[in-house]
Amino acid sequence: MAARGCASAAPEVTPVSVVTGFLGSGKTTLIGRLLRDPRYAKTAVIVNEFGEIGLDHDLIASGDETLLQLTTGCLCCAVRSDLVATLLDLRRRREAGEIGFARVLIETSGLADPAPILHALMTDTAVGEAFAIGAVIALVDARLGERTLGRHPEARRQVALADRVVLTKTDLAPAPASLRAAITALNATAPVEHGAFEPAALFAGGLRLPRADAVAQHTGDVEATVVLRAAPVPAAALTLWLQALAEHCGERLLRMKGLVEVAEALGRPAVIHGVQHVFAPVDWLERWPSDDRRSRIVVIGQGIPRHFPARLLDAIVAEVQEEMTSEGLPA
Amino acid sequence: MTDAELRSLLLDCLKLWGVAGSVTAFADGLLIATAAARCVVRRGGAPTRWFIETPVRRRPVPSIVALLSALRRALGADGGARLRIGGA
Repeated sequence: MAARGCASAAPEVTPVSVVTGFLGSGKTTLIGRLLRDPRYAKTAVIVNEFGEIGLDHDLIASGDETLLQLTTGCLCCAVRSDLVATLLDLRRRREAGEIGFARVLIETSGLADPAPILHALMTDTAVGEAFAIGAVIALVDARLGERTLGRHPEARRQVALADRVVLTKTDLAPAPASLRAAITALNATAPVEHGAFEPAALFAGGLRLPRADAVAQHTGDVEATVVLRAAPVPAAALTLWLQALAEHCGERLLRMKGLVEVAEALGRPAVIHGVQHVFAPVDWLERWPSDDRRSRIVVIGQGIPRHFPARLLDAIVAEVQEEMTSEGLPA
Repeated sequence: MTDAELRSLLLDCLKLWGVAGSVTAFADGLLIATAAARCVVRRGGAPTRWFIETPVRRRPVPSIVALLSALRRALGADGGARLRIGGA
């Protein structure tokens, strides 16, 4: 379900999708394939390479498409400002008629944490006027993925943050069921695809909202917990909860997304979406997507005690309702 | 919120803050003890819901959210992140 991003943005807003995945997972191959497809010729690509001599840009077949490169290091460390500058430069050059593009694709380095990229896209005002997050795609090698996920926290974070996961190299070996289970444990809401991946999915509305039957799962130190509530949540309690989660979980909060029945807006669920301490503005759906109107929020975290989000929400809701009752307001 | 629920929440917080310590319930409050600090949390009447006591100060706090922030500071844990809402 597209809840925010390119699907709901103004027409002039350009979708920016992020392709992430551990070293050797096939990011460059996928992007190269995309750029050879005439339907995606108007794609600007930002390649983030780790190290002083970039190689990936040479491996991506270039045609008439716009192709840019960042070589100053890992996006998760110090290049966020470079990314913002690059996007704004793209906008300027398009407005000047020097280039034309309809979408942007960012290829992260294999060791990158995608969170700072999403932060830049979510928080920079100038970038937000021209660009919006399309989708985050994480590639996982079907043969080596299980070992990689087990050994490398960067790989786990990449999967945890993704809207979609694509299994690569399935022509060499089928993906074992245990790999799929490990991916689902890291990110229960992201569909896992393999084989003939349709490039259009790279730019489809990104945010996947949790199903009501989603359950807590974990892989290593990354755990996805689900907070389900039948009773509406007062708006003040929701705000306080997000503030407290940001304060106390910080970088441990890899991603959080959900639908919430807010007491003051019954029947119009609020879509919440956050990466670490940065949250997108709340979006409001016109109606619930199904008859199940329970609030459901998936919290994907690293080292967050399993019951902390739910305990905290319960404590805050109880206080807010007590306060409302004492002031004669309907709780 | 019962004392048991509050104790569980505070134990979760100690883990999140990377602080080794214990939370012990006694007659009218909870004692939070670490190697470097000791705090007592007691319930208060409205509008002050909670009191946090250190050896040098007794401070009222109005909500569970404020209590957790105050306790975090009192125990010397690193400051937390501030919620940031992205541009529309």
